[in-house]
Amino acid sequence: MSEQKRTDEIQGEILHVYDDIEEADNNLPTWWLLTFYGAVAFGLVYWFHYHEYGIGKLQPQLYAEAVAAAEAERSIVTDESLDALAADASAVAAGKETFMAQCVACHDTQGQGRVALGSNLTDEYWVNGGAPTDIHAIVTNGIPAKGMPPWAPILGEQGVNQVVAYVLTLRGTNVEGGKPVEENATVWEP
Amino acid sequence: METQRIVYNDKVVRQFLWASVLFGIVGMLVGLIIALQLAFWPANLPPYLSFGRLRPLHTNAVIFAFVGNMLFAGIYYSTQRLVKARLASNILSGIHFWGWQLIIVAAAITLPLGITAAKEYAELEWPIDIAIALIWVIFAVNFFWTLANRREKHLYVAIWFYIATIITVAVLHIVNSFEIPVSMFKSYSVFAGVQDALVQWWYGHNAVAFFLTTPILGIMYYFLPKAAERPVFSYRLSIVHFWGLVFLYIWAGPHHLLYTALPDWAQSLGMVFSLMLWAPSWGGMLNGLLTLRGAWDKLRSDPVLKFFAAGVTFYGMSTFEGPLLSIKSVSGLAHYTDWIIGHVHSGALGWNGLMAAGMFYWLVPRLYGTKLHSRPAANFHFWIATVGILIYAISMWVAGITQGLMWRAVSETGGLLYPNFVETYLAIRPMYWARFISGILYFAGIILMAWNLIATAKSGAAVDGEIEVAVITEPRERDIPWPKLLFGQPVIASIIVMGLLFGMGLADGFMSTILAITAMMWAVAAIAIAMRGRGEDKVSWHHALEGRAGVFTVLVVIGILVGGVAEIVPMIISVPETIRTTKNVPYTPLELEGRDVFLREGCYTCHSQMIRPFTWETARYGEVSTMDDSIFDHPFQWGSRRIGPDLARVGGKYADVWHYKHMIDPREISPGSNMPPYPHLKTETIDFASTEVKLRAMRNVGVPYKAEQIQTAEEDAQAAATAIAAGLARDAGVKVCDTPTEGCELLVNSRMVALIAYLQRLGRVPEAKSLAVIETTEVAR
Repeated sequence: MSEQKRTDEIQGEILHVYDDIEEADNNLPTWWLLTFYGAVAFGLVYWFHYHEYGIGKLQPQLYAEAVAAAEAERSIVTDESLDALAADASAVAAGKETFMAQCVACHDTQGQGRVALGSNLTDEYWVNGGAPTDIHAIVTNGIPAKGMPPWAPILGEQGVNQVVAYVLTLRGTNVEGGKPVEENATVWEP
Repeated sequence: METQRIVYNDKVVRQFLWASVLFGIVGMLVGLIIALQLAFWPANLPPYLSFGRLRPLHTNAVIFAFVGNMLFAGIYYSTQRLVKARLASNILSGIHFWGWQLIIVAAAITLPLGITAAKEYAELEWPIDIAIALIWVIFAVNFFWTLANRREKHLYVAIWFYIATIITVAVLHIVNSFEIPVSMFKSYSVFAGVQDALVQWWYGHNAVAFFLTTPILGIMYYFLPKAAERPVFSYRLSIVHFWGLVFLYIWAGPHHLLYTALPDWAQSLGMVFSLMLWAPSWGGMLNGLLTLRGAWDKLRSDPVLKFFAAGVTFYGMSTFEGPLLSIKSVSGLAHYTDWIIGHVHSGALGWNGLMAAGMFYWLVPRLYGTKLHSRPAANFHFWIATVGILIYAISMWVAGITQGLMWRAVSETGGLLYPNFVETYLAIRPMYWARFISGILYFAGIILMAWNLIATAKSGAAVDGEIEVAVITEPRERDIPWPKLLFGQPVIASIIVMGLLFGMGLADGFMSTILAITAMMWAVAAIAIAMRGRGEDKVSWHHALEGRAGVFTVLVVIGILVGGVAEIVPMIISVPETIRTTKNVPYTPLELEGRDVFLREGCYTCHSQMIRPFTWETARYGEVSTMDDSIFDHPFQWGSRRIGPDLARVGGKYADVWHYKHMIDPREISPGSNMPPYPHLKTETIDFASTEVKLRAMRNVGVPYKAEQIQTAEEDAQAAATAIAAGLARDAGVKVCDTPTEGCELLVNSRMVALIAYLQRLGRVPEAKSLAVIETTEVAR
C-alpha cells in the first residue's frame, strides 16, 4: 500500500492501493441506503404486524377459515335430485368428460371395470350400495381400503354430482367383457 | 534497501483452473442429459443413469467441481499477490488439489450407484463428507498460514470475502453432515424432520451464499479492477455490504420452507431477512459496475470485461429475484415450480459461469506468458452464453408460472381445473425443450472456451509470477491491541442492538415495542457517531481491523453464528417434546427399508412430501402436512420441486398393483408422464438381516423403536414383504418367488416390495389405518 495519495478524475481520491489495484472511497448511493433502511423497517413492521400484535392472519388461520366457509356452503343431495341430474343431458355430458379423464384408469372407458382395480358400473351388482346417494358418497369420500380416492376435493361439489349423473346412465348397459360379479356384491333395486 | 524475489505458486492455480474447465464440461453435460430426460423420458437409462441419480451428480459437479476448482484457482492467484507472499506450503497446496479431485471422482462414482445421504447439495455419504472436511481444513491452514506470512499489513476486501468463505463453509458442512453411519456407504442424519429441514436449508441457502457468492465477490474485487485498469468505486461500500452479507445471509435459509410445517416465526424471519439482503447484495453489484466507470468503452473490444460486466449484472438480477421469491405470497406460487430452477441458473450460469469465463480468459494468457489465442472466439462465446442464459431464464419463468397457476386453478364446478398432475407437465413440456436448447448453446460456449484456453496455453509456456519486495529489517510497528478492536465502538453498538432485538423476540407486545424502538434509536446513534469520526486523519477502526487477520476472522465467526444459533437452537430444544407427544409411530422395518429405496433412487428430486395450507393444495394431495408427519424422518424428505405430484399422503390412495405397474411402466397408468421406469427394483433384493442395524441406528438418533421391535426386525420385514407379494400375485397375477428362478417376475424381498410398503404408509398412521379396516369390515358384514 503506497502512502502517496492520487486522485482519479472519475472515482476521486484513491485511499489504498493493493497489488496495483486502487481503491477509491465514494459515498454510498442514497437510493441504495434507502432501500436498505426501508427493508429493515419493513422487516420490523412485518414482525410486529404478524407476530407481536397478531394483527395480520398467518396462512394456517386463513386456510382454516376458507375450509369452514366452504363447509358452510355445501348443499344437500337426494336420490331424486341426482336422478333429475341424470336426465339432464348437459350434466351427463360434463360428467362423461370427467369420467374419461379421471375414472377410466380403474373403471375402463365404458365403466365395465378392470380386474383387481375398479368395479363394473354397468351391471346390476353393487358392492358398496347402488342408490344414487350411495354412489355420491362413494365418489365423494372414496373407498380407501379398495384404493379409490376421495374425489370431492378434486372434482368439487358440482363435478361430483355430474360424474354421478353420468355413472347413473351406465347402470344396466352391461358392457361385454366387463369385470365379473365381485364377492359381497348385491343387486340394487330402487 | 535490500530486496528479495518472491516466486508465486502459480502451478496450483493452473491445476485448479484446468480442473474447473474439465469439470465444468462434465457437470454441464450431465445438466444437458437431465434437461433432456425431463422433456423426453426415454433418455433415462435405469438404474444408474436415471434422473433421480443424475440430478445430484449435476448439482454437485457444477457447484463443487466447476465453481469449487474455479474459486480455489482465483483465491490462490489473487491472495498471493494481495498479501505479497507465496502460498505457505507446496505440500498442502498439492494435497488440497489432489484431495479435492479425488472427492469429485468419488462423487461421480457413488451418486450414480445410488449411494446418497439424500439431502440436496449434500448428497455425498459420510466417508466423503469426512474427506471434504479434512481437505477444507487443509485449504484453511494453507490460506491462513499465507496470511500470517504476509508482507502487506492490511487486508484488501477480496481477502475479507475469502475469510468469510472458508470459515462459513466449514461450519455449514460440518453441522449439516452430522449423521450416524449404518454401514460403509450408508448413514442417517441425526436431525429429525423439521429440524433436519431447517438445518438443511440453513446449509443449502448458505452454500449459495458462501460457496457461490462470497468467494466470487472476492474474485470480482481482484480481477475486475485488474482487467478494467480502473480504481474500485468505494471502500466504504465494500465495508457496509461485506458485513451486511456476512450477518444477514445466514438468517435467510427458512425462505426455502415457506408455508411448510416449519414454525411460523422461523418462516417470517427467513422472509424479512431475505428482503434485507437485497441492498447488501446490490452493494456488491454496484461496487463492481461502478468500478467500470471510465472503462465502458473497453467493453466493446475486451471479452474479459464483457463477461465480468454481464456476470455482475446477472448477480444483481438474481439477488433481486431471490428476495422477491422470498415474499411469502410469491413463494406460494413459485415454490415447487421451475421458476426456482430458472432463478438458480441465473445465478449459476449468469453469475458463476460468466465470472469464471472472464477470469479464465484473463488468467490463462498471464499464467502462460502469452496472448489470448482468439478474441473473436471469446466474444462469440460471450454472446451464445448470454443468449443461452436468457432463453433458460425466460423458459423457466414461463414454465414455473404456468404450472404454478395450473396447480391452483379452480374449475367452474368448484373442483380443480387440472386435477390430473400430468396435464400440468404436458403444458410446460415445450418449455423443457426450449431449456434443453438453451443448455446446448451455453455448453457450446464452454467447449469453445476450453479449446481457446488450451490453444492459448499451447502458444506459451507456464510461467510463475514474481515480485521484488523489500526485506523487512526494522521491527514491525506495534499493533493495536486486540481487545481494543474486538470491543471497538461498532462491535459494542452492534451487540447492544442485537441484545435488544433478541429481547424483543422473547418479550410480548408493549415491552417488545419499547425494546425495538430503543434498538433503532441506538442503531441511529451508532451510525451518527461513526459518521462524525469520519474524515479525521486518524486510522479508522475498520482499517485497523484489516491489519489484524485473527481478530477479523473472530468477528466474522461471530457474525455468521448469530443467525444460525437463533434459528436452529429453538428447534433443537422443541423437537424432543414433539416426539414425546406425537400420535405418529416409527416406520415398520419393511417401510424403513422401502424409505431407503426412495432415498437411493433420488425420488425426492421430483416428489415433495409437504402439503401446504392452501385449499387447492389440500384438494389435490390431502390434509395439510404437520410437523408430526415427518418427525421420524432422518433425513427429512420434504423436497423442493414437484416434477411429479406430492407424496406426503399417497398412502392408501392407490392399490399395491397400481404402484407395481406404475413403477414398471409409468405411462401405462399415467399416459404422458415423464417419470423414469424402475423395472430393476423387481429383482434387486434387500438383505433383511441388516435391517436390525438400521433400526438401531434410527434409535440412536432418537426414533423410539422398542427393543423387541429391533430384535424381530428381520422376521417382521420378511413377513410384511411376503404379505404384499402375495397380494400382488393374487390381484395382478404377478409371478412371485423367493429366489430368482425361470419365469419369476418379482422377488419377495425385492426393493420394489419394500418401496410399495413405504409409499402405502405415507401420510397414514398405522392405528388409524387399522381402525379404518375394522370399520369397513363391519360395514361389509
